[in-house]
Amino acid sequence: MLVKDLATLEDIKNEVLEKGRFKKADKRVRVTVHMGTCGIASGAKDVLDTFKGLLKDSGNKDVKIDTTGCMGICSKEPLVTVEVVGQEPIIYEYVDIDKATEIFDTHIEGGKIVSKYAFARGRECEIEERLKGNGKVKSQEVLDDSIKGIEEIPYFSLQKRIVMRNRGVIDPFKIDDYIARDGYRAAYKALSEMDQGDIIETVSESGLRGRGGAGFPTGLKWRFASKAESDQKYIICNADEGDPGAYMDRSVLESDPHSVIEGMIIAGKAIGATRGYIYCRAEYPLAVEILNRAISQARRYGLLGEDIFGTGFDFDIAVYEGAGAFVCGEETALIKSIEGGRGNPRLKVPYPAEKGLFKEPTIIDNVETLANVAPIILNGSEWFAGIGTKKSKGTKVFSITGDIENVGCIEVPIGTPVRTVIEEMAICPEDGKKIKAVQLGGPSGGCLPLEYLDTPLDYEPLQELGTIMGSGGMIAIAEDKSAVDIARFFVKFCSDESCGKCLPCREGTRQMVNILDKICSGNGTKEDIDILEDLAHVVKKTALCGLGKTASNPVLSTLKYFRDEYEQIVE
Amino acid sequence: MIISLRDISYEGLKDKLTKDDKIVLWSCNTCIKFCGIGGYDNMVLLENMLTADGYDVIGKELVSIACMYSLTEQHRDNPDKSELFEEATTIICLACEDGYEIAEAVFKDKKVIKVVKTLGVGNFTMDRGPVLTAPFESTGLEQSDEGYSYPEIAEKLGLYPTFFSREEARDDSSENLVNININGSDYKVKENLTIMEACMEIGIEIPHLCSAPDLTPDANCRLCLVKVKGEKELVPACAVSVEDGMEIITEDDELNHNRRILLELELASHEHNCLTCHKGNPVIAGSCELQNLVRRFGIKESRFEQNNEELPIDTTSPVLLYDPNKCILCGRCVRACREIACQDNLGFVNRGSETVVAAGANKDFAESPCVTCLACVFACPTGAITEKVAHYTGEDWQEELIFQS
Repeated sequence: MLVKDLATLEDIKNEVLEKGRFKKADKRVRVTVHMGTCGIASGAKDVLDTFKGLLKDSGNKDVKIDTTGCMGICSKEPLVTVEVVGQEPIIYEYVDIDKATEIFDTHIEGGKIVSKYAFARGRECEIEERLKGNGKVKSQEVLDDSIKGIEEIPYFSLQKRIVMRNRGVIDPFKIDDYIARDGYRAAYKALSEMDQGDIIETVSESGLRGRGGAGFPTGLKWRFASKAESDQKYIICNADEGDPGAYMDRSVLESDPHSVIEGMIIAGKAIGATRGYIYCRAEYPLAVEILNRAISQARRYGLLGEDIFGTGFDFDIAVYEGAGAFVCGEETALIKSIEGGRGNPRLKVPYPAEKGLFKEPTIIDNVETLANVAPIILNGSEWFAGIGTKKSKGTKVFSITGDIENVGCIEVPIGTPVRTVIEEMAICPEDGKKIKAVQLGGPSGGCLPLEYLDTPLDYEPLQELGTIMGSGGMIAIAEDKSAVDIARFFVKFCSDESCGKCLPCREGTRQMVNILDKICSGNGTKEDIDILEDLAHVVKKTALCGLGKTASNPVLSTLKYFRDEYEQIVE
Repeated sequence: MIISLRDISYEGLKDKLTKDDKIVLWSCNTCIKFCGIGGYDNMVLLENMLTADGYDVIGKELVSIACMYSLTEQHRDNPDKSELFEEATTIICLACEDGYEIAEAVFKDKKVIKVVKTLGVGNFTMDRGPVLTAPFESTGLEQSDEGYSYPEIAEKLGLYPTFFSREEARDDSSENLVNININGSDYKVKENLTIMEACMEIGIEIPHLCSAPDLTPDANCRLCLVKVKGEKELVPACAVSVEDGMEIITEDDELNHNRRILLELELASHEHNCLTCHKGNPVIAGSCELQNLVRRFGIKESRFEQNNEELPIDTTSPVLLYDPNKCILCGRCVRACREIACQDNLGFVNRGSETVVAAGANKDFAESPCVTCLACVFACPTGAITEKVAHYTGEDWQEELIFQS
């Protein structure tokens, strides 16, 4: 079936709703196992098999088992949502085979909630409704109010979901689920009602900035590419997420691949590109599988391919798997890699928007940036510009890890103070250890010490303090961790991942590791600290690409805020 | 080496051209370069002269060894150059007669112009430059161990001992000049030059290792970084063109400090031991550029931890020796192999500080499809790739006579 108009989209949406995915017409219970990579790693596959086995044995026909991507709070995995008709959904945490059996017997068959395993009541996508209704959603009976409503958990209530709008709700393997949540309507609007200028104007006015780390205005980038003259232009989605402790993009791709595909279609129309690539790292096999499935489903509906929505616009996407080099997340290296060359960065000029992939105008946008596009087109630039700070609009997804309770992906309005995220959402562990710093932006970033925790999460304020917003990795560091060790870890990472092209990065990072090794082993001297600082500055000033230029940030920021720790070790 | 002398005057060359000709200059980078005729600089010089006199030079191609048929074909069939060679109607061949004949065979549909007479086989001497020792019979000259120098041959046979001279062509007043300021002084320079080229014309030398005039810039050694007013970051002089009103600082304490640290990093990266180095005769392949810079910056030793790992030396090639321990990974050989030799036989393997240059499919030279054209030898700024016949064994006679393949 080809989807050529809005009515067909509407039909699919209604059919999904009708079929009982949401209304549960012919089913009584819906069990959802959250199967992101995080869930699978902690045993969700066993849980899913258990439920399937039990269901088969029981012979019940009124129970439906679904899967979705990550729900966002990875430290509680495996998570399972059980939804009985007319009742509030219950989310169970840390489910294993035994618990699954108990839940099946007691809740699914017996109708009684197993409160001791319950994490929360309700569904994430209904939080706003629940807040309005004082913790209740119409036509959903509350059975056990001793369990926290999901809106009562700051981890969820403080989030603002734009990019993650469909997580935990839709099955990433089913395009109909996405369409049922108003998917591809923005693409329809952009293709049939807007021209190139309108789209670029809308994206520009929304104030969307690139989410890959640098924060370049997306609309401006698109404008450059749309002005470049060429028969062939390209859109690349940069899904080569490689920072240690960052997994936002994976989470988006695994739970909502079509949001990225739709963003690419709109971007393609905006700049006049007919071909898109998703450069996804091979270490994300699930994301690659989901993407490929999603692309073939979109093709079957005619949402990719020739004459999309009957507008005469052609666009298709291919997934390109990276070969494992961190540096290929850098635009020019990524282009080289798709071209089949060695993934080495080159000078940024000429910009990819003028001469990129195969020497044709190319725009490269991050997964998160592209996932923002459809909501902006659908809801308008004003709506988006109403979120965030004066200079930076919208939300930002962070993956929070480290010495905290709640590990996972959170999406907060730009400008949210770091403290809110760390203390209210992530929550410091209760064993008494305090957080002394937060590392932002992975190996390219820097750490933010305790006294600056009130800094808003925004591009410029963070940069002023020697760290960066980065792609969204946020690592909380407890007071018993050594800042020198952390610097060494990140510099070692950059040294291992350096492509070897430019001298300062190739040799400079190696020597920084040597000096840090020497200091950490207790053989360092005060002069070593000085040489390290000197070298770090030179590498920052002279390296060729973003990787090298930022490789010394962890050293410089720990030297700035925790110099005493360095000095203590060498004394 | 094959000895050739110019047998045509500039006027004579012009007589063979028309203003409608779409000219490509075709210059060999081996023997004829040492005869003072081919190579990159002479090609650029001739381009400037012809352009000033109103001829349409649409491109120039440096060829590592023009007397090799397959290599010449590869240059012609290079997809990046297909448009150029399709458009061209005339090829001026700065190669020996052998190279000329091959060019004539490869570019059948074009006018190919020869500028030399090839006279025999010779050597390169330190004091007298190239000498002809084994002349062809047709020259009427006797064999001579000492060899005939260029002025001698030119006089005896009525040829030209040197290349065309810039004065023979018109001054190009139509050239567009831009105003730039370098280190506080104002200059007028030709537009489209890189900062480094502009500085070189003025006589300011910016330290560099990875850039060479005949190769596309790669900006990986980061020594040529300069300050340009208005730019947030340092700018690689080898890759960025001058613009009108540009204010450039090529040297100050900060820049020189960066350079010193970078050179120290380079020294610590491998055992750069000049005693074991085969860079050898500076006349043939230039002196060691790393050594020059280390001396220029007065570096005695590196403050960084010395890497003592020894990589195996590749002696398998019949003509060259590759010592990765002397390699600074500037990539000039890699680019030369691609751009001048049209081969793409050299490349980088591994990454980070493990990176090395390797031939073929990461094999040794003998197992790779190396055409032994020496493009990489002439490109190497250090003693990493050296020509075997140019190696000193320390005997006195070698100082005078350098055999060149």
